[in-house]
Amino acid sequence: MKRNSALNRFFMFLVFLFLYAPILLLIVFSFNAGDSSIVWKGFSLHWYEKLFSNRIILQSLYTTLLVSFLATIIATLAGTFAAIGFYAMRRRYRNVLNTVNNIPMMNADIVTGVAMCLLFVAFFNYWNDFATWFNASQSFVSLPHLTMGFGTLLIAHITFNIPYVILSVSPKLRQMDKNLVDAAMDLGCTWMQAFWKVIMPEIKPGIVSGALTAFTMSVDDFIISYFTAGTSSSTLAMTIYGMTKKRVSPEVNAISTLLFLTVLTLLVIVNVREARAEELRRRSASLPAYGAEYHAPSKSVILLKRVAGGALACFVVFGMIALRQGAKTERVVNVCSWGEYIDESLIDQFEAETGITVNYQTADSNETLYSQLKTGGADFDVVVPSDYMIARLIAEDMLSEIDYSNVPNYDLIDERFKGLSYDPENKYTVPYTWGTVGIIYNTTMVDEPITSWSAMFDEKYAGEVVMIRNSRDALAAALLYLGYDINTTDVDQIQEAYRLIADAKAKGVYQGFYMDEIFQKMEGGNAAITMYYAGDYLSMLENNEDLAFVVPEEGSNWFVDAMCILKTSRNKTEAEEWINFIASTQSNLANMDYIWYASPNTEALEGYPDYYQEAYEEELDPSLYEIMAAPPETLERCTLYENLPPEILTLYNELWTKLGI
Amino acid sequence: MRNKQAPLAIPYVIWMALFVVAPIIMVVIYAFSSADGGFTLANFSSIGDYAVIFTRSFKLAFIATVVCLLIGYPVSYVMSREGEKFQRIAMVLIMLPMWMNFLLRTYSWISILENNGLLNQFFRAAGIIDLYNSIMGTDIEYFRMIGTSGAVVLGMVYNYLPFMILPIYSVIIKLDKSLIEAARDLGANSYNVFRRVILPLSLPGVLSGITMVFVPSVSTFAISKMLGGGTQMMLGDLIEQQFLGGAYNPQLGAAISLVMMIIVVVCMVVMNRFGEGEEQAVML
Repeated sequence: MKRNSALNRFFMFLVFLFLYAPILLLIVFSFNAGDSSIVWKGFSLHWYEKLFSNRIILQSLYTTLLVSFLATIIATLAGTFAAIGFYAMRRRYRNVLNTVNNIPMMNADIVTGVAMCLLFVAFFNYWNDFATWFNASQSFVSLPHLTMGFGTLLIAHITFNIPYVILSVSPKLRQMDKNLVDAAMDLGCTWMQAFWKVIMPEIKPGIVSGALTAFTMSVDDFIISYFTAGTSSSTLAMTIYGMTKKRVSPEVNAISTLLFLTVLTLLVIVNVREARAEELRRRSASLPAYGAEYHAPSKSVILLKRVAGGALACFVVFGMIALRQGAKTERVVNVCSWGEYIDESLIDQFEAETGITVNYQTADSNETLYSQLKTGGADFDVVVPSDYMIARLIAEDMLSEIDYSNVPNYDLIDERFKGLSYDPENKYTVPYTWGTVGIIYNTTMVDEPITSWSAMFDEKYAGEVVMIRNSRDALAAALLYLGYDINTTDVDQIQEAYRLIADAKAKGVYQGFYMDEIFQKMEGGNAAITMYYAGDYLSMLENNEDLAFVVPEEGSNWFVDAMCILKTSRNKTEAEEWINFIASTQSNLANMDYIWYASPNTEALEGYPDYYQEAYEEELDPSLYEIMAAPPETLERCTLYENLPPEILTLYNELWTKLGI
Repeated sequence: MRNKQAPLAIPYVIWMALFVVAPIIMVVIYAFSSADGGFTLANFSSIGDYAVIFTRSFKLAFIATVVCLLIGYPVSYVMSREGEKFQRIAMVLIMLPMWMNFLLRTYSWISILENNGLLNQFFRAAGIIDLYNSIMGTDIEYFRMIGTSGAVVLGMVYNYLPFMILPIYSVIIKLDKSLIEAARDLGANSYNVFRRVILPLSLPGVLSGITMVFVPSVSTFAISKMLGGGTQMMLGDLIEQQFLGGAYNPQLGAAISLVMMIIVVVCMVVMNRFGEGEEQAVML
């Protein structure tokens, strides 16, 4: 065959450049001293250091590897036997079964995920009802209550892996000489012996390649896991997705780099060794006696063995690291919060002090949390929703009352954060943080200081404005600008607010609708104006000094995120211990310093400037402190969200979907 | 050995009944239920409101598939003509990115495509933007790439290109070389060898590549959210929103999934007819 011209080679080079450019960028930014994925602040290895103490990432890596490994083994066994069974069947049955077998591969991942999610939820509902009835009717056997978790995740992975195994084993079976097995059995082999001695060697390449594909698919899968893992287990992909609410922590870049480089190194080593071995063989092949016997394995088999070996070694290495996380104690508490919303050293500290294992998960928004709770996959004890969502959860009888005698630190919470509209009688909540929503803008990209919500709808800044991707906040901005109440239930006012946003969108004011990406947008100077939360503004400021924050003159929303215990919780005592620990002054100071959101703990709130001075040996800029903890005169302009009646919530959803179209 | 071993498949047949067939039946049941459990067709009638999203999803997925084919086929072809060592390394390089989570890789594109991102910085430094401004008489500071449908298509092509290359490559590499030689001996030039022999014989790989790119593209949700800036909502986003996202309505979500599934299956059946029922190429 003709060799390729330089032009062809150049084309290949471009394709590889396309495939690898983003990966190189990721690797480079895993060495960034700052925490942005767009602003370079110098070389540092500290994300790698931090990685090994980040239990959320390590735990999810462990889950990913464990589920992929188990699913691969089970799917390979089941798939191989199924393929042999299919092969032995009559053509008619085989065709039907093959068609069913192809369904998970032909179907969109999201349909597979959603379908399995519906099945699990329906089954668990029946089962749990039955278990409740059964446990109540007798006292000998106690049936467990089931929720989605590692088990369902594993089932889903096995289900989508088996077709790949069958697909790679079947052709090998078809290529096999059918008479071989008969011959072996005529010569006295049992079927089992014939299987091991005759069939196995023939189909082994197919099994290896099937297993490898299955493992890779499992590791790479996000969508199906997302719908079937429930909330108690989280794969690496799900953790990353959760993080995109705020920002992908560079620790994730670090772990991906490690994973990637491990696979790469293994591949290189194996390749070099194989190449040497081949060279040796080629030389010895010139000796006729040896060469005649030598059976060259096909290229793809060698390749597959290499990758499989790499994958396996990789699993072992990372599994060992992550296994440390596997040790479980009797007492657990399942916490669900937002991404990057806690100083993680607090978790370790709590575990060391109490011996309770904290299973810390994140959700990406109040609405997502609500859907997760409703879908029935949630297995949480403590959640940290915002005010209006708390009201909704209370209204739907989903929260359990807190026994405040077990939470003495509740007394440290400032009186102004008690008895608020979402929990007027203080029965369900212990506040976690509070803050305001405002406009963040880049002072170098606007001609005058911004003071009004009008900036969010102004054609002057067309293409430079980023709208928040959250129906409640976006419509609130429009309502405020129009001079209406953010909790209005007047359909006309809401419609008017919607039209304001829709018009602005049609005129090209918005660069896009974002949540998490706002960090990158603002830090990198890619957008001039946006609306977001005060605490996050302070995080952005660390990476871009040109940013300013304002609570507009028309007023704004202020919010409280509070810890609540779910009605379904089975670890109430532990949950209360956790809440008490987090409500302490020391925890609040640590959190404030880490996430820049204001604390509701009086001592912590007032003591933070001193804490800052001690920790960083410089004074905390009072104007920054005022942004973090808005003074009374600012708060006067701000209103809490209230839970809206169901028909208004439906309207919000409909309008929001329409805006997306 | 015929038939005796058929029972080996029984466990998997049961498994398929439980976890492949039953879930799809659940989707059908949900799609025809109202929130309180009664029978209704309302879910389907409200799908009409989302026609724009259906059209957009299928359009963008179609473009992405065509682009993947236009890049993927030549890559596979060029690769198959290289030396063994090169091929081996190239295959590894194509598979390797899958070891880095696709969300992260897509996230990385954001910083490349941003208004102030790497590409625009490069264009600025290279004077391309000034050149464009002087030719077109415009006054732009950057090319707007992020948040456009083009960015979403790019994300799809980036993520699913390997799924196009792998099946095509594995078919081309297995082609019977004597057929090509025979064609040459019979006087065909390179172009004719390609058009009359290689291309038709590699069609099964092409078809399976198209399936493997089109299906995930049409149903993606993370890519459109990240690169489309929330202005390029796709079917996947719509479905996700009804189950785990901001608008909890699993019945509507099931109805949309069902309709999407049917359209995809119809597309695939039509396409495979066109391929004269050739057996699907095994990937890898």
